[in-house]
Amino acid sequence: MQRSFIEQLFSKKREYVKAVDGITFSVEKGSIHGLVGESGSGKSTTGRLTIALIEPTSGIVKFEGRDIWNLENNQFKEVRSKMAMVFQDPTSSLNPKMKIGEQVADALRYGPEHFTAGERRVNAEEMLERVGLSPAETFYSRYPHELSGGQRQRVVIARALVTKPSYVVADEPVAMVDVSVRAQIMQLLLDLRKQFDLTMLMITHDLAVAKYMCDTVSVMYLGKIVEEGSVQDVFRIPLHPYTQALLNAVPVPDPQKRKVKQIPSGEIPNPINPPSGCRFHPRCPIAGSICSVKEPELRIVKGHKVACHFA
Amino acid sequence: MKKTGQDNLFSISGILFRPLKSAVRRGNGRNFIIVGLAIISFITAMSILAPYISPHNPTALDIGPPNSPPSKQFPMGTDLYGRDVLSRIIWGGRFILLVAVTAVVICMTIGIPIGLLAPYAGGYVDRIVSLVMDSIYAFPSLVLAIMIVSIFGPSVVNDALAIAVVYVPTYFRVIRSQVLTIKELPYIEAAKSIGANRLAILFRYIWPNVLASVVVIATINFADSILTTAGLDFIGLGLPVTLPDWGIDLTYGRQGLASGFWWDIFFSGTMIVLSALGFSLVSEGMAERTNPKLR
Amino acid sequence: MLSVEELNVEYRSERGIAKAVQDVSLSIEKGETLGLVGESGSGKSTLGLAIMRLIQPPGRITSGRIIFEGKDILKMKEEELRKIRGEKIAMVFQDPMTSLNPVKNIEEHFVEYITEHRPKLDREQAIKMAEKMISDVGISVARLKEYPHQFSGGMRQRVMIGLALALEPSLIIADEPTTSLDVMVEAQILELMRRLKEKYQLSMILITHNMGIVAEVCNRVAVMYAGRIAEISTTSMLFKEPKHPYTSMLIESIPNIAINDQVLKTIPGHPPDLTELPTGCPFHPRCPFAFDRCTVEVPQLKEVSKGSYAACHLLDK
Repeated sequence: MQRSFIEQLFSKKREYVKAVDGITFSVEKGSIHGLVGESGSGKSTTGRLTIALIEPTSGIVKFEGRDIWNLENNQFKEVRSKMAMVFQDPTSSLNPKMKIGEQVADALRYGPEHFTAGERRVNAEEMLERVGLSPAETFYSRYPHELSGGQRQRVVIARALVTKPSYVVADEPVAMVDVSVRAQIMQLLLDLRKQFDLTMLMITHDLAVAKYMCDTVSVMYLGKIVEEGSVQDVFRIPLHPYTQALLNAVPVPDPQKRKVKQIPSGEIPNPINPPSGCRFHPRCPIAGSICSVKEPELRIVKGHKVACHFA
Repeated sequence: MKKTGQDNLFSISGILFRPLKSAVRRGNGRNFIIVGLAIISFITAMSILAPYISPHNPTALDIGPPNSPPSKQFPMGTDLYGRDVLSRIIWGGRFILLVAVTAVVICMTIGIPIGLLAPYAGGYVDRIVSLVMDSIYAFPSLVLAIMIVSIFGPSVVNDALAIAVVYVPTYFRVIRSQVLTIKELPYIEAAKSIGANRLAILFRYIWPNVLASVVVIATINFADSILTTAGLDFIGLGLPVTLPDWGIDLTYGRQGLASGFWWDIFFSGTMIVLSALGFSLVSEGMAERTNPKLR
Repeated sequence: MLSVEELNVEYRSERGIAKAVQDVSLSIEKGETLGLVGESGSGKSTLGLAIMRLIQPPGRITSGRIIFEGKDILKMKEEELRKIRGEKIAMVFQDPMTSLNPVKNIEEHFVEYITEHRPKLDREQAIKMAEKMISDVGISVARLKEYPHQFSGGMRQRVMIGLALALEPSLIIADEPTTSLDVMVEAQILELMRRLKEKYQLSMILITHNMGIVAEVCNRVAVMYAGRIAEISTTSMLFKEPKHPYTSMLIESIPNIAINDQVLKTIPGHPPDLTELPTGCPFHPRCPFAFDRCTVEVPQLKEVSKGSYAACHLLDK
């Protein structure tokens, strides 16, 4: 499936925030594509754009070759049912007053296919088993507060997959899960991806998670994609100064690998007023005069894409 | 919340019962609810079973010597007309409770849908409704109640309406603020992501989470209605006919108080306080239970 | 310089008594950075608060000693305690947004803080100290007149660190100081803390769940699980030869960006509910090496090799 030229404008009174500013990327069927960035990068917004939770201000979002915002109502519903989202916070993304089994079953109510209540329950229980919440009958009737964080996240995953979607967006799926449980959830996602032949978009600020889980990755900064390519290429030979700085800054759980860090000064600027030209130029160690004037384009260098005048 | 008679009452009892309160509070509201429900059940049972358990006819005059103190024959004494106070106490809650129930039902029927729909619709609908509600909210409840009852005459429905009108804004405000908060929570976005339509989100995802606060408001509503109705009856405006009633007994009892006949006013006053307290305890207990969980 | 001896802290909750910290003993030497690592429910934050005697009801410290400069903090009177808090031991919290007063500017924050602890100083002197501190943390002096909302997250955390160091304490307790910050800002703040630690000869207890930070910044590490200490060791020993199964499994379950083609090991189960702790070793339900002794007897922290301690029955075999 593809997305091409997406632009999203948010209005805040009189000021416009370009959360996602003219990005183009596509996700290959069957792959896990990572959207990596810090706060203000636009990764969450982009994820939601691809799943039709937000409508772009301009641009096209295509799913399986079709422009999703140009469809008839029932076609739109059909497309919607093939997409799903796994949310970040397992506690607040579940309805505290609804049984977890019912929440999973609920996902089957609003699609184009009609299920009876009995069928919904059977499907929900099967999904609960698949995500490791066994015995499913017992778990079906439990409420979110009776489960641990990791178990709740499994419910969120079950709810996303019960409609048998082909495309899943995972928004920081392990960021709010206990550290000792993260590997379980990551492994679960990888297993389910194989079992259901899923295509995934993984949004994360944690580069180590992105490296572990993703095949390809787009690095985002302030609403733009600055580097994109396979995980091996981008993480081993980062070309953009921002990617380099980001990789350098990540703390490594290995005292042997302690390094002297070159951290760019300053912080991410306010997205309401992004810097002119290349958005990273005020903090970039190799910025030249052209960088404050002209925005660099995403072009192919050494096998992957980068948006830098000096790459 | 406006300073109603109930608030003042609760502040006083709060000071007196502070050590008790902190001991009870450790049960995290559960004890409050249990005690409150016990009181409510007792008073409701008493009112329903009045015809069967009342020893005498509460309106019968000169059953005993007037203004006689509590004795074995008349455990709560007699009032200035020689009526048995105990019987009047047993019967005295019916009108008040009936008005309270009617008022709460009216409030909920109007307040809940508006409270849910206005913020969910948003935009100027929400703003206009809020404006109307805020203006009603500014009215002093007892004064408005007196106005309505003096114009339209006393009856269960009119009394209930008078109280309800002033209370709907409270329901509206509380529900609205809850809806506004919940609307932004991730599980609502999750509901949207699975394709739920607006109505489904409202009734299956938002309403169940608002319910707890509604119970809190409803019980406060009850307590306040009891006190307002008793107040109206005390002035002589609330009751349509000469029913036995705690509120009106306050009037009868007041005349005797100067002469040292304390029992009439004491027992009727206590019953009013007790019933309001019962509902207040339930509402406090519910509030305690919902708040920590919200955290 | 600080020694915690057999500390116990519990919390009363609706579902029972949660034993947040159980029989914890550790010490920190002058000039070292001790990492306190654990997940939610491990007791690390509670321990940090307990050292400053900041535990509020429904929590309370039930037993133990905290010896600082020869005296037991838990036995001190309010007067003595107030002299220690801020002046000798200071704390940096996770979320700078809620720790700063939105209606006061930064200068006011400093002046209030300084003059409350040192009433003999006048406003002029306090402002001088504030200026020195604020530039030390990398913020220009002109910004002292600004308000918290005008600062970004990383800047606010710098302000918090500046405040913590204003009275020149000897020990800093930092509770997840960078958890709410972006990766690059986090690196900046850690670098700042390292530099200030050297400059002011500080000792630091760094509380975190991030093993990466621990590896980069700490000299020694204490790993906590379900309120108890599982292992204490130097950082290099901890990662090279972890003695406790929880430590080794945890390290192997974390994605490491420096490793290519990593295979993560998953740890089954999840951290226990503190009101319903398992009998014996709290980790045994999840431990692949657990045997019968683990289910009945709580392992005690024992020295395994020089400077390395662990609480595990396997070490006795």
